[in-house]
Amino acid sequence: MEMKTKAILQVIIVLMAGAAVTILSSDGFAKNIESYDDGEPHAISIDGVEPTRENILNGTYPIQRNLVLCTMGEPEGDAKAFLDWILSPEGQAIVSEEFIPMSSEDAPVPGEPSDGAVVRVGGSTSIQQTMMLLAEAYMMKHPGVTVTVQGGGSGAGASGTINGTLDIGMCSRDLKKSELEKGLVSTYMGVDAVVAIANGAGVDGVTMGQLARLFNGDYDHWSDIGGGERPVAVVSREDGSGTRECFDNAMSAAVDGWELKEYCVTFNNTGGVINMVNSAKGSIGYISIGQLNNL
Amino acid sequence: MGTAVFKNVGRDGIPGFALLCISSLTVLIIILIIAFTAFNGMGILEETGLTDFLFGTDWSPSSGEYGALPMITGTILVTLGAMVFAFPLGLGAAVYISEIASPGMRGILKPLCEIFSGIPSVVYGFFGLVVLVPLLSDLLPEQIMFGSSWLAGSILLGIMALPTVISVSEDAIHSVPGSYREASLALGATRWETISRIVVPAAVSGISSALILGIGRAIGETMAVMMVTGNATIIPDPLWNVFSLISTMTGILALEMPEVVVGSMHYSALFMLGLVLMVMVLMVNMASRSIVNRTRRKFGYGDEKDGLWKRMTGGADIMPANMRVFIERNRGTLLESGLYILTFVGLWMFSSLLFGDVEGLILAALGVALVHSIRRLTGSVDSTCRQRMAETALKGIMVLVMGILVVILGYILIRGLPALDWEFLTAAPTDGGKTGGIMPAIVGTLELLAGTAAIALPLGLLTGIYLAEYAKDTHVTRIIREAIDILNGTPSIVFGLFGLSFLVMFMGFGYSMIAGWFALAFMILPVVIRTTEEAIRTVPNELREASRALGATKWQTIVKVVVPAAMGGITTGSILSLGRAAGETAPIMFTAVVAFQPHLAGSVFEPVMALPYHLYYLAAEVPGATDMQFGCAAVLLIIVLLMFGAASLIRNHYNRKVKW
Repeated sequence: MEMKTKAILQVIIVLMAGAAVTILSSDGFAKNIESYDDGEPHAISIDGVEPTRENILNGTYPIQRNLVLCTMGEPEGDAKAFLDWILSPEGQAIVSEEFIPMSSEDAPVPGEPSDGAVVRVGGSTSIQQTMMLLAEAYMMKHPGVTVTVQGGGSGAGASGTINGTLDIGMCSRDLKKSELEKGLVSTYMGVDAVVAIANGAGVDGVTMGQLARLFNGDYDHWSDIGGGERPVAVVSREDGSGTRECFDNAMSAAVDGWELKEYCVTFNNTGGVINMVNSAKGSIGYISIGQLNNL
Repeated sequence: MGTAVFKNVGRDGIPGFALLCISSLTVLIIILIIAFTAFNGMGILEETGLTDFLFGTDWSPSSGEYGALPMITGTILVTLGAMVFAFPLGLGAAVYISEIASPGMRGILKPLCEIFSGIPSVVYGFFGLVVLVPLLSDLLPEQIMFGSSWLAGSILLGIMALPTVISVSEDAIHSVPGSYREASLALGATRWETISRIVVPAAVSGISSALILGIGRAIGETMAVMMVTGNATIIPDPLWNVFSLISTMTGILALEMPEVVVGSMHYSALFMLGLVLMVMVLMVNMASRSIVNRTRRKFGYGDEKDGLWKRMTGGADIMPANMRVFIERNRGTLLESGLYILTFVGLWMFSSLLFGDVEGLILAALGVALVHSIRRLTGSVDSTCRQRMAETALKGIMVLVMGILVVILGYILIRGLPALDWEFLTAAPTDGGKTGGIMPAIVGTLELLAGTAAIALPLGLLTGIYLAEYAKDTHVTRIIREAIDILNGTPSIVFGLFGLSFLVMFMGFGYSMIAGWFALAFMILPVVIRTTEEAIRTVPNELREASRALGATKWQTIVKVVVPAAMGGITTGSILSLGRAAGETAPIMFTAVVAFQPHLAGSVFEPVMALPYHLYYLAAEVPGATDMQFGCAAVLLIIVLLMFGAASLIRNHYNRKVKW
């Protein structure tokens, strides 16, 4: 046989052997996961408590946090007018688009702001979006008033109010003792709850301990807690996020020495978490309750 | 007569000095950037110490752990992966364009490559998010649970680096003297033998410089990587697990910066991360420069300075003599066994990720057998046949490269163009971006561009004039050039960090259009300076001499004669750099843009919306806004590609019209 033909034959034989090994060995890894039907993306109840408005307001839903607006001393003047308006039914309607509003029965009647007033608001980025909507609606109602909104985080909101660069600070947590001692006064604007969402898990509810162990990597397959065969794919918010802080605190309270699993996809916004959980079967993540309708 | 001379000197002296002052601004900028990044980052070193920061493996700022090693490793791994993907393809395409394509084809492919290099990072990221990531998770559901992975990041970065690698290595190959080729062909070598044995080896330093430039670009890339790698601060296990989630320094910076409390330890750690990133890019760029210098010396340009290696070893041969002889004698065998060992190890590493260990070993062995038999096959045919095989392979690579880029472009335009209508272009977004239009983002981008141009173009133009016409080789000039080089290599996200710490906080601009202007202007300044200087240098001296002989002062000569003659190059460079600014997200995301601002900015101290950031926002944060995403991506692409296309046309026009 000619050398060339031999060489071509050799290439073909090696290629076929490679294909055979690939097919044989891939038999094991395609466990036909896709055929297993285990439901759509959904919110998970914790200890049997569904994340609903009632359960959050009466305090039975375990992962929640207060949304606080702080002022230096009792609110007065234009800041008070704006705060009172936020607590009025009109303002709370906007708050309810993302968060659980306060009960508005004993809400004060908002006073008129002075013309040309400037109210500077800043702090928690979790509240920032809602605050921007509030500010816009308020400015529409009172054309002479300017409300500026900036981010920076809860800590920056409190410290900015203390040193006077802000009129109102936004904190997505209760004020710390040290901050209260410096003269800050808190006004509650609503409640936020963090809801665990899962896709293709095969479970509808977990206990707090199970949730914590799903997120720290102790359970790495859903079958560990009676769900489907899929591996648990954890989606998280980035370090520094208020939602993450709230979630981490609840988890640490449930399991001693709890730490988030390192192998998790991280996003710095709720939309990313929702997108990822929607697209990846077997995934679990957590979001602010106001965003549940986007799931 | 004496007074006339005096007058001339006087008139010339002032512009020269003024230009020097303006040029020194670049030095000031780079000092400010380094100072503010370092100053803000110092806090973390006092907390953890440099070693623990660089080599700590745990990054969880909320519990006080600041180990940056996962991100540093991640950056290196993603970049390496990108180069493994981009370099062979880029080199093949460059060889094809330069050596095999007909001149007409070359005239089409080269500008096309340049235009592709203008596709904004965030558009690549968006494509990765909607196409690549789901594709990967469908292909390998067990290995890549989420689709986001090192592999996705590397493929995307590789595609992004392709145009750069192709352009630079094509330049290097094309500049190999024609006499080399003629001599080789005259000796009876085929075209492929000439290419593989003569032309590519002769261009090897230019090609490695292309590789390093590609690496530099990939390390500093932010948006695309951040959108597809998953940003998990872990070191892959095993280290070559390309299916693992991974994080890069740029990704973590962009991810965590927006919510961090200003002045906290976390904030400081992020700035230190930015500084480490800058140092890494700087080292890569220095390596590239030393390679270029070595080549220039080899071809007889530049001064005869010894390389660092030779200076360190004193030119002594550290290899034992008998070893050297052994290597010389068995060169062929050594190379061959090296090839086989590399194939085996590489294949085993990756097939064992997919299959079991035993299957991995078998597959790796079969891979070696395949390489061996292909070598035998190529050895058994004559050189004309080999020539044909090589040309087909190169053509295949070229088609593949163009195919990838055209698919990305086509996919986005085909899905995006139907979403464009009058309302989309003229209305403000409503319902958090899900409906409505993108008018504020378009206007915001144009406003940002206008301001950036107003700052960067005069500064860049004057500095370029100074460097080309006035600067002598003094220490001051050298420092200015060094500053421009460093500025040029600074990753775009570092301009974002600098903008945040200096413009937004220190200068008190707040999140504002003006802060964005300066951040973007500083970013494109070095490109404007360089292209201006190059354009002015190509103007022949006769023009200057004629003008001076007619009695014009130096400044009059520059303004009336030299700059108009160099206008083609200057315009092209300016448009290209503005095109880059239009697509950039990282420098403006901490300085100028907000996700939602339905009104147009009332003053320069108000924040704006911008197209690249809006696309990122829609793609990453708004679930189910598909039409809006593709529409926004298409508008951004069209704006940027129009700018790059215009620049390309202007260059061609001048190249054809203006002949010295």
